[in-house]
Amino acid sequence: MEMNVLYNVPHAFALSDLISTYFFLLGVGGGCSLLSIWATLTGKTDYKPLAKLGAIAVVTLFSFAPTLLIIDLGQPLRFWFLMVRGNITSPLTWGSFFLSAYPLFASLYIIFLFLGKTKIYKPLAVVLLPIAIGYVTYIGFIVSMAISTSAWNTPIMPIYFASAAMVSAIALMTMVGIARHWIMTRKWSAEQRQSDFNIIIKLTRFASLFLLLNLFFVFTQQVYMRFSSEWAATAAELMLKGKLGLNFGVFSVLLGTIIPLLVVAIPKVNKQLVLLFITMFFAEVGIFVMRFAITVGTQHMPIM
Amino acid sequence: MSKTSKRYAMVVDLRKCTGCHTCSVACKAENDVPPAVWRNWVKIMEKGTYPDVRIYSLPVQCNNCENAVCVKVCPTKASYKRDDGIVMIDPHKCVGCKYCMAACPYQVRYLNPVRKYAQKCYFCAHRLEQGLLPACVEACPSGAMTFGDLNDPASDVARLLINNPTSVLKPESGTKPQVFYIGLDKDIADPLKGVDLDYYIEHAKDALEGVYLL
Repeated sequence: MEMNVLYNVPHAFALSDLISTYFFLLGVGGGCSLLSIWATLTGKTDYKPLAKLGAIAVVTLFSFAPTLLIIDLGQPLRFWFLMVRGNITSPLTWGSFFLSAYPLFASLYIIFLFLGKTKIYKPLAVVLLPIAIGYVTYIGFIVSMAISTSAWNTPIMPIYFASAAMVSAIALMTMVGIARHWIMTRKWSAEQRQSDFNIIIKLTRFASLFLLLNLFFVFTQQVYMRFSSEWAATAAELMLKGKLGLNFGVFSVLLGTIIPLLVVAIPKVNKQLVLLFITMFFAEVGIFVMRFAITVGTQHMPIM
Repeated sequence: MSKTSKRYAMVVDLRKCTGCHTCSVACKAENDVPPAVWRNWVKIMEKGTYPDVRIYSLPVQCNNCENAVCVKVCPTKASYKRDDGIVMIDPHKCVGCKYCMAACPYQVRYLNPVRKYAQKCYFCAHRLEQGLLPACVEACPSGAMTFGDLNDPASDVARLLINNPTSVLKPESGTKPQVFYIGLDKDIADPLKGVDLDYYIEHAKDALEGVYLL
C-alpha cells in the first residue's frame, strides 16, 4: 500500500555540533587524566614523562572544553544554575558534579605532580580516579538516557564513550610523544632515546586494546539496534550508509579503528614512528567523527 | 496522586478530525508561538492506491506524560509535573540546555528562538485557571478534541475513554501519555511510514535551517 506524508514539521536538532565537539574534547581530557593517573599509580619511573604529558593535556583541554557547553546553552549566563539546582535523575547534574570536582582535584594533582611530591599526588590520583571515570562516562549516560533517538538509547553508550575517550587520549599522547621524541631527544643518549621510544610503542599497544574494544562496541550496538525494533534497525542502517555511513563507517570505523589496529598489529610496521603518527592521527579523527555521527548525525532520523 | 485531585487528559477523536490545522493556528495565537516552531501541529498522510486513497490526520502535541522523561532529565528542575498531571516549564529556571528536547520521544518541545528557553504545550494551564478550555479544544470546528478531568467519571474525557478503544503515541517508550486517540491508524503514528528516508535524511537539517532563516 502506498503511503505519503503530506505535511509534518521538522524537528529541531537538540544536540549541536558544539556539543559533539565538547564531548570529544571532554573525552580527550578525561582520557588523558586517566592515563596520567594510571602512569602515576603503576609507579614506574619510565612512565613519569607520560604522567606529566597527560597532565599538561588535561589543563589545556579543560581550559576551553566547557566553554563550548556554555555557549550552546540558550541562556549562557544561567550556566551556574546547573551547579546549584540539581536533579539527581539527570545525567547533566551528575556531569555538573564531575565538572566541578574534576578541575579542583586535577589541578591539585597536577601541581603536586610537577612539584614531585609523591606522598601527596599519589593519594590525589586515587581520589581523582573515580572522578575522571565519571567525567568520561557521564556524556555516555546523557545520550543513553535520551529515548528520542534509538541510536542513543542503548545501554553500551557510557562504556563505549569511555572507551572512545581512552582511544582519543592515547592517540593524542602518542602523537605528542612522537613529536617530542623527534624534537627533544636529539641530544639524549642512545639508551634514553630507546627508553622514550619504548614508551611510545607501549602507548600504541595500549591504544590497540581500546581500539579493539571500540570495534566490539560498534558491533554490539549494530546487533542490538538491528534486533530491537524496526525504527532502531533503520537507524543502525543509517549509520553505515549514505553521508553518515561515509562519516561513521569509513572515517570512524575503517580509517579510525581497523587501519590503526592493523598497523599496530603488524610487526616491524608498528615501529615506524611516521606511520604510527599518521595512524594515531586517523584514530583521533575517527573518534571525533564517531562523536559527531552519533550525537548529531543520528538526529536526522524522523521522530514523529 | 490522591483520587480527589484532578488528572487532566485529552482525547482526540481522529474519526472527526478533518486536518484543518485550526488547532495549530489557535495555539500559535493563544500562546504567542514564534514562527518555525510549533506547540501542536497536524501530521497529514495519504494512504492507499487510486482510487482507494484516504487522507489521515494526526494532531500532535505534548502528551503531558504521566512518566515524563523530560522531567526526569531536566538538570535544573525547570520542567516539573503538577498534581493535576500537567508538565510545566519554569522559564526562570530553564537554562536552555535542550536536553529535554533530546529526551522527548515525541519532538514536541522547542527552544523559543526569541526567549531562548524550552517551551511546549501545557494544555493552556493559564486558560484552565480561568475556567476555560485549551485554545485548540475550543477552536476545533469538528469537536474532535475533548479535554477534561480523568478522575471525574462524569467528564467527557472519562466517558470517551470508557466507551471507545483508544491508543497513545509510542506506548513502547513507557512514558504513559495523557493524550489519547480514538481511531489512530498505526501507519500515521509510525515516523518511518510514508517518508522517503533518504530524502528526509538529506534534507532534515537543511529544511529546519531554511525555516529558521525565514
